[in-house]
Amino acid sequence: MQPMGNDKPANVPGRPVLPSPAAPQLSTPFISPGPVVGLGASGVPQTTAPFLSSRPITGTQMSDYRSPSPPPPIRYNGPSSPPPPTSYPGQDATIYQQTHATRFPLPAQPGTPLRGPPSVGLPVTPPIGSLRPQPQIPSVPMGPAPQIGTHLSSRSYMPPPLSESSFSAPRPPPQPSLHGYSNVLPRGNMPPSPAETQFLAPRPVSQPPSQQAFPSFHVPPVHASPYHVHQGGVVPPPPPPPLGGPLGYNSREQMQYPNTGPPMGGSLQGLIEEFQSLSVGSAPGSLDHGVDAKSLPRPLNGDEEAIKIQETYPLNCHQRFFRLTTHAIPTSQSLLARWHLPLGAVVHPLAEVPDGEEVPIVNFGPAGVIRCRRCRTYVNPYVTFTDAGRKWRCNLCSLLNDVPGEYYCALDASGRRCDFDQRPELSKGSVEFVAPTEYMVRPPMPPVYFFLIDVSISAVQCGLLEIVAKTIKSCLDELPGFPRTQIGFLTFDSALHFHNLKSSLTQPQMLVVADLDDIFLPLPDDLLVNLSDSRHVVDALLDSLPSMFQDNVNVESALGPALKAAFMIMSRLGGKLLVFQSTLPSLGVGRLRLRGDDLRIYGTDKEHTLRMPEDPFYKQMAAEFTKNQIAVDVYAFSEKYTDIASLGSLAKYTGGQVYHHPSFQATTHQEKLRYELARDLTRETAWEAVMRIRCGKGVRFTTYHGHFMLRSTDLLALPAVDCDKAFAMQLSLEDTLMTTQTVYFQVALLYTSSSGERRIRVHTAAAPVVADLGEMYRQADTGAIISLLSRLAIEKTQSHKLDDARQLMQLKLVKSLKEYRNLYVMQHRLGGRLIFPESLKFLPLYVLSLCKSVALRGGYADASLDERCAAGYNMMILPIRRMLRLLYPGLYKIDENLIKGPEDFEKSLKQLALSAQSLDPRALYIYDDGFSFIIWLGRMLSPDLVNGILGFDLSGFPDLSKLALLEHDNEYSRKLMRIIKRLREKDPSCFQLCRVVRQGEQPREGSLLLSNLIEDQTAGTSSYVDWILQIYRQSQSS
Amino acid sequence: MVKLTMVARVTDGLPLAEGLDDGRDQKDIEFYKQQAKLLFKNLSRGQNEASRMSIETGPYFFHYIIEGHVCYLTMCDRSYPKKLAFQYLEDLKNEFERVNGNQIETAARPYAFIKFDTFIQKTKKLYSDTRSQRNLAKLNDELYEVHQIMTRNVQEVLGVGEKLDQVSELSSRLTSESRIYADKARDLNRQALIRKWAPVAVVLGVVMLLFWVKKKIW
Repeated sequence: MQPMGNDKPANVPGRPVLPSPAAPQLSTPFISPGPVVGLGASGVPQTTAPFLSSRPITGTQMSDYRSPSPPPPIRYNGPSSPPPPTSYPGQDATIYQQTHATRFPLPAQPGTPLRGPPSVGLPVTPPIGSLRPQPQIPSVPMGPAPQIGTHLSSRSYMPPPLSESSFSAPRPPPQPSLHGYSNVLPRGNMPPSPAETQFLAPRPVSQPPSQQAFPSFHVPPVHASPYHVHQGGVVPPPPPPPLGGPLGYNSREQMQYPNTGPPMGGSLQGLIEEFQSLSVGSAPGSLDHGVDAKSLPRPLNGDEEAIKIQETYPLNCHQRFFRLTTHAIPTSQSLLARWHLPLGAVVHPLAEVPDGEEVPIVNFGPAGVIRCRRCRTYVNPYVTFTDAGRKWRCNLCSLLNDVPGEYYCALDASGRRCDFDQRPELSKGSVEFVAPTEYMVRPPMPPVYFFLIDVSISAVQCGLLEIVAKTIKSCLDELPGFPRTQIGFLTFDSALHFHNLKSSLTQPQMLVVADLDDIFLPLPDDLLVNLSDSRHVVDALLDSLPSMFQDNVNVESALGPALKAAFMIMSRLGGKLLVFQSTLPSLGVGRLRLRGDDLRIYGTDKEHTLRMPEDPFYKQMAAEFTKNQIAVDVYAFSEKYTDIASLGSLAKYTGGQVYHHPSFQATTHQEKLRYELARDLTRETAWEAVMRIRCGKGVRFTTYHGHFMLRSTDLLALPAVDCDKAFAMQLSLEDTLMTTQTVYFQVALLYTSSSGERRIRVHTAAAPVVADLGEMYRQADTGAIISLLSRLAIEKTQSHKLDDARQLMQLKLVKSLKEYRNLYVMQHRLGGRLIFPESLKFLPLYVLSLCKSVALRGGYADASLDERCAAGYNMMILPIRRMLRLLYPGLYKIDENLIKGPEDFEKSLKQLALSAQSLDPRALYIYDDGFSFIIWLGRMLSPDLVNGILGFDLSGFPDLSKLALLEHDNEYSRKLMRIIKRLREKDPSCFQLCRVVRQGEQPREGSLLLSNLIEDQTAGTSSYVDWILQIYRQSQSS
Repeated sequence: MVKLTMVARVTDGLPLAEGLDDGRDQKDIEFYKQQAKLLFKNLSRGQNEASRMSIETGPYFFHYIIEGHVCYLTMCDRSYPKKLAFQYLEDLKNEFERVNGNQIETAARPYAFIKFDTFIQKTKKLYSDTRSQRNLAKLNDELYEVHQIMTRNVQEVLGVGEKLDQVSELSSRLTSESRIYADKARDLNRQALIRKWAPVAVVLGVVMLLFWVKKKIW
């Protein structure tokens, strides 16, 4: 694979390479140990460049290279090394080889170079980079070539091996990191222009030498010796970011630093990577730092999924279903130990798919589902068929299985099955199998919805009961599973009210049971009925519910006994239990007491007990529920303390969800409740499900995070699961050394659909095994990492102090950056800069934001205990995209849109940095964290606009907290509503309630918006700039 | 009282529908469900059984009718009138054929007609009370004759299948054991060969070595 490194010494002498005319410029950085090689070279006239550039491109073939005739040396005009003329021949030769080696991969990843540095145009300082052979190889670095070869043949996506060397290239690293490569290869020849695919392109590019130098940025193009600057550690403040970018990083993407350090020349280790760096000032630690807040990286374009992976592994399931924290599995435990971030995956098995990409359904009929005999892996695109199609080899455990007669198909010349195209399970990473009888312990259950509704005085007064009843009624027609759907109701205050819904009745009958100690069911049947049969009775009940309890003055709440009764009713079938709770449970088993108002407990070792369920009753109940396939969704409404920590554990262990509507008031919050309840009832739900993730030899999933019950060591029991729930898990290596080049993962979710079909949804993915830490960093996926990290943090808060959890996060971040720094800093002497991989450029920001999120922020006063717990429960199930949105909410300036009104909102809405500096008192902003919208009215906003939007004048200082934003009959209001609607459509899983806040309106402005501007310094937390400095210092210190 | 209701395709034993939450208060229900499934399996093996049959098992009776390649089976208490049970099955059959008649042969997945369970549920309720007027009338209906329906014991019925199973198991064991035997024989053969020729080979080797050494030295 990386033969070049090794070969090098040998070859060097052998190669007759004529010194190229350009020789003077062509320094071979290779040999030169100093990364910062002489910039003397830097002064190189650009004219030379053309020459160089043409060379490399022409000779892509090995043969050329090897030819004794001196091919023009391929250059990277490493300006860096002072060119000793004598050394030339040898050096060039070496370069040669390497270059040729490096070339190969190129064809595979033509696209990558495109991202070329924006800075392109600038004739920047000469590239300093030395050639690194490694980069191309990254993905499959280790195995013996022949093996790879075989793989190739079996997989269609592989490029046919051109030559031996090509082996190394079979899977180009999918990542953007490639930039790095691109720079590397052509070395100076690369024309900087972004469009360059020149690698492939044979035509000579007559360009000025590309600037690969890292420092390129701060250094004006003309600058002669950027290097030195670096060395000194003094970095001039970066010039204003290039147009492209909000990204302020100096170099942002373009900055790849081809490894400037020539030392790596032949050695395998050379991590030529591009990384980003951020200058933090000449004197680390000094007060006046050189960080330019504007240039810090911000994810203003939302989550960019790593599409590259999909390109390299086209047979993998889509990224929306399965994402690894780094798409490169470390080869040994020692390597894993140096990867301080979590290694794992985020699985979103039922993610919503756009039309046209539905998961195909496969029915094997009598043959049964094809699975591996030993590890029970389902047949998937990565299995290989041998023995003329009579056997197949499991890709996870490599066992040779027989192909059942019904499934037999001949192989074509390349070893593929002839029916490859017709069988989605062999061509797609995600499929659904129809499960035969063996996968059922009972006939498929019907969808069951049971409502447990608090009717005590607080629920009635805030209007909750009425809205719930109306919403349920409006959803009855859309409940999935007609005509089998079952429904039931139980209302409670200090007693339990059962409702007989027998289809022969005209009116429902209410049966009251006041004995809370010994719960019994007053009727054996008819408390849970078939909806289509009893529809009229259910309608009658929902109509009369609000009036029935309208004068209820009961303040007690017997939630515990009500849960037991509901369990007795539902235990036969399972289903979904929706609990509406508006006060603290006060009677019977499971009564809870007020806690969390004790300030003194914060900061002590007992702090975490507040965030844990107090009464084991709820956990036991949850275990019983799961056993009987009941999922619990908890809706909590109180303005006072309701102990979400305890109630939430019902949802946590049953695959449910917590909906928290603090201080619920029907007038302002009804829309949100209505939407969320309707979505909960009508979204496609998978019932009585179990999920298991299998992975190849050598790795093992150890811990799982999310809402589920672990039935055995690796089987997640999910009584109900839907498209809004994601799960995270961590991986560990079992052996000290991995022997395979690729690790496969297979997620299998066995469930009953609402229509009564038993299905198995299978997602398969492959990831390369790497021996290079740099490659792990290159393939890192910030979204998955932060998603997993936040779940770890939430779990940490349940056993430790908040502060410990925050420190843990910071520590992980710092350690990983330090490790990364150690990879490069020596060669590059990047004294005063914080360096980090391109793939993780947003990680520091997300970690900061995680520490400032409601679940983790501050202490006693910063968030109420219930809100904190509810936020924690929410974060445990959020899919990656929503998690990122929550951590870095969108802030848009919309007043211009309202006034001028370009029709195309999407384009004109530009996300702003989350800092008070972005707020202009003359403008109107909308803030979107995926759960709510906050509309911020600047102080100097034109009164017309305000009037238009609100429908009244602000001059009277009205109370905006009760305001429900409605559409008024004017252009502004209509446009605003359109924008809001458009934003809501982006995330259908939650209804974003709109709240209006005026600049200077304290304390609402502070609690709603200012505390969420995570880049700003708030009490006890650092601003983004300080945070970066802090991280930098810590990663510096050893 | 009807305890259990199942509908399955006779040709391959594929379950098509089943009564909802059948046997909720019985602990041994799983055992009887297994028996019922075995029964279907036997039927699908093509043993020519009568199209109507009662089979006694423990304190219960299985009653089934086979019509149009579909078997309708129910399990009742011993005391439940046979006549009513068969009328119940007739009712199911009529409705099932009316609703799903043309799709029965093409059903590819288990419980393809699970929606039928709502009808099973409703009908079951009608038959749960043997003394309701409606059911008394049915009992007295002379037209429906159940006397000639055979009654057998479940052990007998399943026994046939079990015996077959046993035979096939025995034969498969025989095959595998004989294969092992063949392997072992081959192995022994080879060992015998080695034992026979090894000394000769060793001697030859020594001689050759001597020759070679001699040549070297000289």
